[in-house]
Amino acid sequence: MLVEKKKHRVFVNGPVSPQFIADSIAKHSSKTTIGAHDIFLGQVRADEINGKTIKAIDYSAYEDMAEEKFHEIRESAFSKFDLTCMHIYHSMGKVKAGEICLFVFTSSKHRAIAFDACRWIVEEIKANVPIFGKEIFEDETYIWKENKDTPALKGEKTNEQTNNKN
Amino acid sequence: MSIQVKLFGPLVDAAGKAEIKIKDIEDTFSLKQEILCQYPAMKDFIFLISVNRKIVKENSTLKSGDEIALLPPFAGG
Repeated sequence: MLVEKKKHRVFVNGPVSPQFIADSIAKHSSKTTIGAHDIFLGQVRADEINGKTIKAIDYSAYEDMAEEKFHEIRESAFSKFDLTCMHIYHSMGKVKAGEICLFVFTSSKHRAIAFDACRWIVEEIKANVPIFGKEIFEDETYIWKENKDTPALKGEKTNEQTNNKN
Repeated sequence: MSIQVKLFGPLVDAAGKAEIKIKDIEDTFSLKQEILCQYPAMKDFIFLISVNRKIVKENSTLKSGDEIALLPPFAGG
């Protein structure tokens, strides 16, 4: 079956600005069948690891595969949930602690659907989209961030796992 | 058959480059063995192999023109 491949830009360079989020909300005022929006914002944490504090995450991705995954998540979200619309934006490049790196926005007639869809989409993104994050400390050293539900950590561990964060 | 393999995240650090070329490989299991042999630093990392942007866990025969990548743990969000 041919799937319509409408391009939805997900990656934004650097942090997602509060102004961008506000503008996205404003754009929905003409869609008057919507009764509920839900928004998830992921923010970079200044975690302390072994006495050093993270100052930023530098995101990279396998962009072609990531775009396919985002497309699949989008299609599945519309078939699972009665959504009016949905938007996903994820940062590429450097995002400082305290800035927004993920913006998921779901809209529906009623709140339950908007809540459920938003959570489902966020979990799918974290588990299944090939995005990589370098957590940079104040002294410019870094470690690689690992989401706990990522497929590489769920499969059989044939290599010795020695690159734990701490 | 020579295969281009895309690397991401910590695997780029381990290999010192974002793409490596592996020769005379027929399937994904032998690809992994050969990579670990040529780039022993990669033994310290967990990764999955994707073929044409799909993760493959079973051994899969490779054909010329396949898009191969090694995927370390994801970190989106």
